[in-house]
Amino acid sequence: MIIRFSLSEDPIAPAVLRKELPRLDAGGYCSFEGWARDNNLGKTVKELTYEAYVPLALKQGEAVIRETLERFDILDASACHRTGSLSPGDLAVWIGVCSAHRAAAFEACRHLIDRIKETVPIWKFEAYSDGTSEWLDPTACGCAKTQT
Amino acid sequence: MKITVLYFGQLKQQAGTASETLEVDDSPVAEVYRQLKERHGLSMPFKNLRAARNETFCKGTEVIRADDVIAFMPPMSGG
Repeated sequence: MIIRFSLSEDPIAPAVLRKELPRLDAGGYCSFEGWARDNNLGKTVKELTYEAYVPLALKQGEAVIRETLERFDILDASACHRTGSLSPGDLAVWIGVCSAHRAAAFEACRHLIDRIKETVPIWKFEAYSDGTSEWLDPTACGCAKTQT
Repeated sequence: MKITVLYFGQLKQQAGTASETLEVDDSPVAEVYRQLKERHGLSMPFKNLRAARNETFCKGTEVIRADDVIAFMPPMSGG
């Protein structure tokens, strides 16, 4: 069983991460990629920075993968989140899940990204084309649950 | 006793530092934050934060010990 949560200061390579998942008893694989968007709440995003509390993020990331493996009928799960500076279009987070049957893989993938966003200590800083910048607070606009 | 405090995200920006060493009495984590909130003019109330003690999530009622590393974390915004 693969339980792997990683942080990467370098661009994420999905093909490399995906290679670890295939197994003969799996009938399906589901992946989610979160991308750095070029806009947020009406502003043009020029650059993003992700900061993590690394030791706790690694521990919590692994905990949410374990929780997902217990809750859904899946075989393996892996996730990687970027840290450092990103440009719009860059891959910010990658998730891969494999299972015997597809439904569980889809559901687990969704659950995993939601739990990572809510509980893994990683923060996004956005710099905008108008010269302003800010640390995002998903609870401030009430959009943590609604913007999916 | 001496403890280390870590700040992240907008708390780091408001505190003007990523970490600091403090001399404190035996106090709950939330009380330490209350003092720091006043000292640094931090905008966020403790109920909006997550705290960690020695790299493990903790409640505000947990009492700190000498050499603890206490992290104050604004709502996560990864993904």
